[in-house]
Amino acid sequence: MSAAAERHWATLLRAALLGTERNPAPPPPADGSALGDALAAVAAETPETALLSAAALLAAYRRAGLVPARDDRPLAESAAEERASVCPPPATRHLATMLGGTYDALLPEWMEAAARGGFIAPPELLPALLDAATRDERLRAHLPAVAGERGRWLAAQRAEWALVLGSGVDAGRADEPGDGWETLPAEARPGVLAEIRGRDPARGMALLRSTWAAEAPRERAALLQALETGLSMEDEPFLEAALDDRRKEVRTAAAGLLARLAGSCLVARMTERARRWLVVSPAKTGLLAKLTGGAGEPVIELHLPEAVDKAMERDGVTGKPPYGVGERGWWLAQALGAVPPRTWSLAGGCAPRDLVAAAAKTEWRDVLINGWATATLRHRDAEWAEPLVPRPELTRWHLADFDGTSLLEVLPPERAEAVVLATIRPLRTLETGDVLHLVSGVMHPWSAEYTREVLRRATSAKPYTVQMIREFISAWLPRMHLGAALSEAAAHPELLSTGQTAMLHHRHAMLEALKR
Amino acid sequence: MTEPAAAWTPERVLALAPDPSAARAGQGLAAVRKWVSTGSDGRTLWGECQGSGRTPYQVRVDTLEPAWRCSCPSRKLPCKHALGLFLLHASSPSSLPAGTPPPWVAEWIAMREERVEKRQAKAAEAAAKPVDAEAQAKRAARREERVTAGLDELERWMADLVRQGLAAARGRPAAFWEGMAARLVDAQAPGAARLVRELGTVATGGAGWEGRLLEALGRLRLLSAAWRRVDALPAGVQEDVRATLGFALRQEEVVALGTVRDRWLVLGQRVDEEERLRVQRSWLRGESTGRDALVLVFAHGREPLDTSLTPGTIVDASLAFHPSALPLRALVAERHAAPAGLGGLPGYPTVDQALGAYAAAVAAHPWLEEFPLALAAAIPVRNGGGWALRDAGGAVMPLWPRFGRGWELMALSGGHPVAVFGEWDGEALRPLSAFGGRRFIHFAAGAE
Repeated sequence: MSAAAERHWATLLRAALLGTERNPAPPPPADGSALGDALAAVAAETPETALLSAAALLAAYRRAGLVPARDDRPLAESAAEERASVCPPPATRHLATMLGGTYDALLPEWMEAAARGGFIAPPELLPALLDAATRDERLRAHLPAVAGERGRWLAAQRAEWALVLGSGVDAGRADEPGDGWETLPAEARPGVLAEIRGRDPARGMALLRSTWAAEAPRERAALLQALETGLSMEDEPFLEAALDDRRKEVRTAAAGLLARLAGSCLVARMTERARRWLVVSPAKTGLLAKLTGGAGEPVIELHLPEAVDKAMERDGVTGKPPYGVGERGWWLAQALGAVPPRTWSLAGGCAPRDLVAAAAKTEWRDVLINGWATATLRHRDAEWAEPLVPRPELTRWHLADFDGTSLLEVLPPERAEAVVLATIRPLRTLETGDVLHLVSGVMHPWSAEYTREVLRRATSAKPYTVQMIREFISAWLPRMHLGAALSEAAAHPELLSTGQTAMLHHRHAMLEALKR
Repeated sequence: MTEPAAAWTPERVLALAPDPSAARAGQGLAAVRKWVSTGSDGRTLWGECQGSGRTPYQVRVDTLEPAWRCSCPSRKLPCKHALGLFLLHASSPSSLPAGTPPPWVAEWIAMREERVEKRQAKAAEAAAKPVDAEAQAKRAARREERVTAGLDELERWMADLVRQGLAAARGRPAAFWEGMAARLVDAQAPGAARLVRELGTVATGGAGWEGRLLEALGRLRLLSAAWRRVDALPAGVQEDVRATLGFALRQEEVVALGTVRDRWLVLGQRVDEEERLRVQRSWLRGESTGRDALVLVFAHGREPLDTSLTPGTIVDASLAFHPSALPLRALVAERHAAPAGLGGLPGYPTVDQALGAYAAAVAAHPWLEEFPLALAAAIPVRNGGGWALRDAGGAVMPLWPRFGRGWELMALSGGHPVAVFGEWDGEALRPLSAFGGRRFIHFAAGAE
């Protein structure tokens, strides 16, 4: 449209804003243009109609004459040709349903199956999939395979996505922090750091060091937790320094991580302390033991300190004990928690099982079991995990805030299942919360046998308990062996709610749709 | 998500579901073992589904319309049984044995045919009936007088507004705009009333409100001026003036003007909420005629909306267009075959050509609010905080600022040109659908 038309429109607009009372409409431009002539010809009974009529004409004129803006900047590189094929329409539908929030617990399994089948997600669902992966790290393992070339291209357009799809902060030397890291929002940083650590721990550490001094105190603890991924002795100097941080949460987090590094100075210091406080010696092999039969149990002696010193506090032996635990016992539990548990079975010259049995007879058994269990988790000691897994008679030994069922994760899948099965086989139903919790502790995909044995006992005569069991079942459904679960559900329709049965069918359909 | 295919696909059937839970339940019923009996005669499907009651539910589906009827008590339309049966047919047509409809199905077919016949008979009767022409003319003349009086008042009101200035109008209470709108409703000019109500929205809007308000006032002035000399205007423009003022035509009158048969691509659809009325707007484009059409469907309160036009499909149908200098609004007079999936999205090659077509459209119909516009090969790009389309020559078309699905469009494109269809309002394009890499995506709820 012409500049004259724009000028005229501007004067019209000014007149209209102020009101024709004070500011009459301008006369049409007498420039001999078609627009000028047309404006001159419009009805003009009063100043107001003159203005409105001119506005009517010019509005249409401007609308029709719009000239588009131009952008001659070079375009970004386009996405590469896709090598894998987009998943078939039913699979697309399943993915859309789950990204919409229904059955979303099955998303990781969908991604795994899609990756196995060599399928990629359809482009229109990629933004939602990338969003989901920024929130849930379980979706990241198969993200590169499922997102395909298009996903990689798309992720590169947006910092949050670039970091979860791994194309954001990977180039360059490890001591040069990437552009993405510094500008990332605080709540996303721990997750991103963990993801980078998964690929390249040294790079993650370099990034963390680059911004550590400027990090807000309350963000520091969360960031430290992310070092759990890819933790190694390389991280020790940094963590050791963090023991002197001003904030308690940071010190606690650093001590917790150092306690996992068997070769760290903190573990050495804790071992030295714990061996003074707890003395384990081999079973008496004297005449009496021989007469009473068997090797006998190892001997446990305790020499607990009266106070904690500064050095102990620095290593994390501190804090108020949980309700019902004595101060001195709590110090011991904390020290034990850092010591590799083999230390004790070696000292006692016996199997972990025997030491656990001996500890059970002392007045300090809660403290000992708790400390050893913490250490077993930290040092991933399968041999120790098995006798420590809470059985009904053992559960109450564990101190508050300690989830003993997580010990199952230290065990190989078939051992974990065997341990739980040994506990539930004598039971007719899984009515108590402790047992349900124990069953939940098997985190990997369940075997057909485990699925069957659990489901057969997932009933109760008490209505309140039925509800509780149902809630547990909902959490188990994604882990259950599908064939076994479907046949149990078909044989005992009362076991599952309609929604749960539907979820199993969805799982089945979704896996079928992704088969090659 | 549509590939060129025959007839119904499960995706298209699922798009008919009234809500996600019905879609899920329907999928659960799309298995042969869920059905006591099923059958099909090519056009109509039927089946008996065991529900919680003693007798199985009787389910009937007409795949042409599509339409359904089920004996279950659900108030959803279509219910999960109809969806399940339809899905079963869509995923494997051979799973329903061919046969002749049992009595309970034949009855339904006959009833529907009868209804169509009745409607046609009524239309024929109405056309043939020697109407009381005198009384009708009297009524029409009385309405026209009222409209004229209403517009006279509107002129005075607008003159006052301009005399005191738009800056003062911005501070007016809602009742100021509402009052004038109500007087126009009383004057039987509901279309003008709606435009006045929109003035109130524009006046309290964000940056650039003054320009938009003056434009809107200009259009109203043009409408009122055109009404005064409506008889002197070309026939099509006369119709546009009347339609914009709110003179409605009856369906029979529109159909009587003739129909256009084509394979119509359903390019986009959206639903507007106006107080308690929902307006579903479906944009169609004729495959061989190249004509654009807008089918409006109204639903009051909780009434279900029409589901017979599914975006991403092609329907072989005869449309009847409302008379206009730029005929767009149309109604589906008759369908000839079940819908198929569309295999492409035709559009203008450049932004300049698209805007040229818009200029011609505005010249023909200056009250045009949304213009159907498709670009055949555009690359979506970031544009400040929003999105834009860029054609091969570098011309840029801004997208609607509230468009919330730019990343999906971006993902579909991958930096390659895609076809995008939407409504152009003179300033920005509101995308309704896109086609790229043999995939069609629809932005039904496109707002952020």
